[in-house]
Amino acid sequence: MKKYGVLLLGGDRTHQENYGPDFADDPRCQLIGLTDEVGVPSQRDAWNRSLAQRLGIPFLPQLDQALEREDVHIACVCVEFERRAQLAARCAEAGKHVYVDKPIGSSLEAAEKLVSVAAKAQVKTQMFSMLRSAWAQRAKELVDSGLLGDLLGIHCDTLFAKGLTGTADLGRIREEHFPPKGFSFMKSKRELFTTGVYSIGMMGWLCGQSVERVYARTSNFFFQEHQEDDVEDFAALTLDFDGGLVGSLSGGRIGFLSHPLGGLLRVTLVGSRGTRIVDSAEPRLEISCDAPTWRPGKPHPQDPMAFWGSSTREAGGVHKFGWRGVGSSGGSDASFFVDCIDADRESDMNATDGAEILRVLLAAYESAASGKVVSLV
Amino acid sequence: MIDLTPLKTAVFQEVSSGRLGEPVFARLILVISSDHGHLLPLCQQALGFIQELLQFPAEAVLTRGSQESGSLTVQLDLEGGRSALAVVAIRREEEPQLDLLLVGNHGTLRYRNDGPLLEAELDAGSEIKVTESTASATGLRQALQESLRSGERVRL
Repeated sequence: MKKYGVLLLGGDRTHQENYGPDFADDPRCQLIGLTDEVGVPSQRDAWNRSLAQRLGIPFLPQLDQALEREDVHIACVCVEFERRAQLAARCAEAGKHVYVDKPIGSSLEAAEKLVSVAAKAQVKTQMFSMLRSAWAQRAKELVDSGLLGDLLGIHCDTLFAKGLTGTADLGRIREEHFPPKGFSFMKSKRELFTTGVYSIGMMGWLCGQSVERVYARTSNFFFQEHQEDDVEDFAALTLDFDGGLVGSLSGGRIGFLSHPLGGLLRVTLVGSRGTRIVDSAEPRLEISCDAPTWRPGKPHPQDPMAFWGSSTREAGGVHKFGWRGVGSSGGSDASFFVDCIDADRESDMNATDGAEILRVLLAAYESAASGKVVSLV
Repeated sequence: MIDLTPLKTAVFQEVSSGRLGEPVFARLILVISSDHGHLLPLCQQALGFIQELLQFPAEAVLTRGSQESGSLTVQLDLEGGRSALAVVAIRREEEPQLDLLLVGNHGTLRYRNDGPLLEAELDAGSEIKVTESTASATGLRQALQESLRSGERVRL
């Protein structure tokens, strides 16, 4: 019998499409079933059931009953932003270790409740991040080596090469709102919210400091879909950390053909003795040949931005070959969480970190709406 | 100072091809040794270069860092909703580096140079080569200094 039973919350058209198989691949874990709240919209229910079927696990229609099962030790929560932290807190309250998608939710109050409930229940938590990637580990090793001297600045770029670009009306300059009006949409995402979470998390992890002030500008540069939903497709931020370090980030979704791989993911480390750029696409093979180059086909009508693996495959997939990464990370983010449970230690991206990142993201929206630097202290 | 004319020429040729669409965002990382200039004028020059690439006037700046630390970070807001981020550093013991990312609404352009060519560009740039008007250059420098002093975003 496997050591840890894993309950999945949320199905297709969420990152559960990735995390569920990651847990299934870990020899210590067994998927017990997939569940969700009673009364979710019928489309969501159908997507939940389709992932359960594809993974060969039962769909458990009663969430409360699923959480009462003694063979469930870990809950993997990938429901929509608006109910994510609340549902994660229910899982923690039931005594389950909680692995949660990023960002941790859209309500700071709910995220803070998750933190307190998890502490009281003495369960482990982890929010998905890029910290397990080979390039993030290289950046961490570089910082820890002292080679760069005292770390003065961290500058991240997280620009996903997805979507058919060029449809935004550049004459319509974005006016941001605070608080943000809605987070979940079928054809768009708030890209500051969904890409900024990676960069802010990585900066805090690398420097061990907390954000004190933030300035942000959000934009609509690329997609009509984002403009129609009144959400940004790009953002630029400057961050002040409490130890004096300066951070900046660019984040967004900038088009399928904007990068030879999945997008520009990199961090620039500025130290008192040196500066280094650590890029996810290095080291790499560069391939030039007479094979036809890939062009994006007709976008999936329900997922034109290629958010999800299932719909991207249905639309023909992405088949770039010009660059090929060399090397791989040691293991999945899910397996790292299981390591933490095994060793009875906190994750380096736990619910407390997730809530702190959410606080910075919400302050960034406030800044983008006001045009002013926003203090978090 | 650094002579950015060859890079500027090449980038403008690419932008004018239309393949990238309209430039909307730029990220510049520039590290040079102390033999080649001072931090604030270097930063000013870098921002002038970015303004030319994005083809919109600057609206406001937010500046972080200090002369003492040898590095400045600037968020530049331009009219038309465009924006840019620049990191400029002077390091005595480090090889020079110039990394440019230009994002258009149809594609991106990247330039990276940390080799001998950049050394040549640095040597060639012994005289200041800034193409913007003296008035706007002065205004930009004052805004950079004011933002450093106040910690706030400063409108131009």
